[in-house]
Amino acid sequence: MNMNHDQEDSDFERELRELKPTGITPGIRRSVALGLQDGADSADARESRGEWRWVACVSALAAGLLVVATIHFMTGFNSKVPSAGHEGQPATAGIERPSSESRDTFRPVAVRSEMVAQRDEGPVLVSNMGPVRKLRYRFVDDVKWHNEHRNLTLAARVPREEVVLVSLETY
Amino acid sequence: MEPDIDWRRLLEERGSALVLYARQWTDSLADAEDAVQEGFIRFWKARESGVGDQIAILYVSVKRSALDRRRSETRRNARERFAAETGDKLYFQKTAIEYEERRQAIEKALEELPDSQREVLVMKIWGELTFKQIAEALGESQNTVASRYRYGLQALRHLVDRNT
Repeated sequence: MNMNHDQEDSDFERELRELKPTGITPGIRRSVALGLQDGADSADARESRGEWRWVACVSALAAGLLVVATIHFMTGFNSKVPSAGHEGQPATAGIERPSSESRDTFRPVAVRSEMVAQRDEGPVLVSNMGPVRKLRYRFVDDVKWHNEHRNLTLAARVPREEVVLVSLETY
Repeated sequence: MEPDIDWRRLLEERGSALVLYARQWTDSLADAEDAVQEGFIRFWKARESGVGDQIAILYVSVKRSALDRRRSETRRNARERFAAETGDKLYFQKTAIEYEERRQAIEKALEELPDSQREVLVMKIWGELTFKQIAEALGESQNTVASRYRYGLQALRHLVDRNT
């Protein structure tokens, strides 16, 4: 009896396979071709993401170097310039110099993060999470440091990317 | 899927089955084609080699587009909805005249199947996906999708027999 059912199912399965779904129309081909032309191809997109990361690293490094160079420059400058009203005297002579830590310390005074782009990269499968939607956000972080003692302000602009995975409800 | 496969080839190979797959959640062939187009483009732009089964992801992408379209469909007014519902219902290419009645019975029976069974049947029979790929796309176990397939096939056969 079961064998009969299995045989019938198997014949029916074969019959179904012989039915061919209606073919795709030239309209789909054209629309897909258009859609893939105006958006960047994934290879280009990956390349652009790579460039973005490179810019982020270089900017962060440049900001760091700028801070170090400025501190170094200001420290050297103050030790050589004579102080007004004390001609012939070294700049530091007779002045109560604060510790080098407080003079050279730059403290962050403002942090601003602005989202400049977002992209829905569609569904991907992640192990243990099932299908998820991948969203990529791009930010530009503006950070300012200030040295109260020297009245100096440093600013750096650093690009940053965040990828967020959102669980997909398939039903 | 081959890593450097051309999108045109992929669309030719999978397009028809994807349209049939999308039609489960759309009212007309035109809406299903739009869902495939949208889902395919989104998939192709975001594809990443080595992350999951790409064909399974393509099916998920098309399904999401079809479901999004269905949600926006509910915002249409009744007249537009009626026009869409009375549109073309042909799922398969026309067959020899003596088999046409049988084809129509199969199409009607497919519509009567529960969504979850019909989805697996379409993916397996016309999409030619493996149970592993189907399980990955649906986030279910292989055993679950295999039994849905078996029950769906039996139910479809009984419905067709009843309709002919």
